[in-house]
Amino acid sequence: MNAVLSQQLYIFATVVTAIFLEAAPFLLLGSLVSSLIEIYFSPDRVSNFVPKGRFTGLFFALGAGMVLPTCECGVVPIVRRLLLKGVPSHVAITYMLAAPVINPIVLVSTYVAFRGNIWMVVARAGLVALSAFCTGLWLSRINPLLALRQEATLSDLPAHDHDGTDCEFNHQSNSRSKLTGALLHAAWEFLDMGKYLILGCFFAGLMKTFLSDGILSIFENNVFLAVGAMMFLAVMLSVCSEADAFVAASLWSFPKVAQLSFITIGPMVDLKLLFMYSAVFKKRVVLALVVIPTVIVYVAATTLGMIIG
Amino acid sequence: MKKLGGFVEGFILFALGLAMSGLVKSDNYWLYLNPKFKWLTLITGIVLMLLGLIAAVRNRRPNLSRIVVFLVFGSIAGVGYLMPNPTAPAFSSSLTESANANKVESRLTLGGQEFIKINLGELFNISEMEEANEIGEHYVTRGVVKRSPELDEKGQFVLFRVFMWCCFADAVAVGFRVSYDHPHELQDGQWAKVYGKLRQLPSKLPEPNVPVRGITSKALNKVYGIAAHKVEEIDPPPIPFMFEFRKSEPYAY
Repeated sequence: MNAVLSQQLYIFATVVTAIFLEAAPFLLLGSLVSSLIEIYFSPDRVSNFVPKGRFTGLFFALGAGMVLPTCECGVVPIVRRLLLKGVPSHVAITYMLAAPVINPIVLVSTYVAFRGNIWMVVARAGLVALSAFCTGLWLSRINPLLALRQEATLSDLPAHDHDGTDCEFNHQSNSRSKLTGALLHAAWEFLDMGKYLILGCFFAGLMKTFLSDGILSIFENNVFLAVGAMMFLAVMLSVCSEADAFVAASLWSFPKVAQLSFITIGPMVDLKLLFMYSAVFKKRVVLALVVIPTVIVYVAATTLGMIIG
Repeated sequence: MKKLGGFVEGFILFALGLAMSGLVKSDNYWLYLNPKFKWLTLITGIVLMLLGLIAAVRNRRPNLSRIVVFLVFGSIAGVGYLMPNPTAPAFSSSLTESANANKVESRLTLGGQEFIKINLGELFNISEMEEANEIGEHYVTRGVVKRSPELDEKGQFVLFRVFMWCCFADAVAVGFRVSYDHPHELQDGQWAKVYGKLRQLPSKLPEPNVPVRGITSKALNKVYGIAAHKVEEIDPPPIPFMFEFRKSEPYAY
């Protein structure tokens, strides 16, 4: 085999495998949590936890994101399940966008990566919280079930808003049967979301294999182009929120605000998430999930760049 | 048919879990992930095997597209694992590093001068500490030599080593310019051990064109370079990537 082709195939296969291996534990955890919610929590029980007001719900979601850390891959199946249980769209969506970033683990990793720059940590958390809040507010009038694609409510991925007749186990059965059922649900969920994760990994692998490392440096001297280039890179590389700060910090020839835009947009919008969003949510919801954070991050980062120079 | 499809999906999950558990035990885990995450991969593998067994028996909702995507992924991952590493010598090796590596002396003596053993990432950290005493020390470090015609003209080469925080996708090549009188004696891509001191670089040096295969993110120090006392060509270390930064001696080297 041609040496260059062989090298590219090797790098592509290694990147795809590495991203999947990195994300798999979090996707599995998300699938297990989602299944436990499905089996053990009735819609009434879930809705009792959630505040009824729109703004209190948004702040509740941000607070939950701080204390219940989840990876961006693992949070999607959890949010799908929460929506199926009737949790208001604005609460679920705000939690989904904010939780992968505003939790202590990711904030500490950001602090370490940027060598104790507390302003980078604050700016990251603040900008993600703002984007999540605004997106949640925008989607607050959508009925939770109408936010989801029909396939995501009925499909091969077993949403249990049915009467139980088409299900492999009895929801009213004993605790052992319930546990087996929860594990079977988790297997379905992992396979279903894993499919979209893998598709995202393929695209990220292609970008990583063929994107020249020098191509972005031509944008680094102009704040508008630098922020755009770093946001594009974050979407394409699909790096996990716990590690992306180290990648951003390594691109130190870029302005700080461009690095900030990288670590802010990546955990909300990246290739693997785009596939997962598209599998779960209706088009207009996916559009909002992509456009609102992108606009907010770009405008905020470039404005900040002009102010601090 | 549904029963067979369900069994196949269960088998795929089981095989995936088995492969992940096996990878933890293999010598190649570090090619994909930082070894500090071995425990996480192992737990995930075990749970996936359990889910696979349950799904193989109980799953009656198979989906062809899921099966196809997972099989394609398995094929690609398998090919990547089995094919010889064409990025050698930058990344290739087998895991044979001594378990007693940490007990090795933290300094080397060369011509009566002590050199502190340090990896390029740790040296990068020191270079970013303003007015730190450590900047003036003598160091010995290792990495891959990258040459270019413009660097040769200046009597320089770049020494890179890959740092992996989490997985290969977020790997970063960390490097320094090394001032050396005979860069043409070194081979591009060769591993080298460099003895020297940090020295401040002139400002606004142009970025040299020295790509590192498979790595999109590069961090080439623009403030400090290494003034080399001696450069030795060496074999790649057993684990060529850096996974650890320490802030004081003994450094991870």
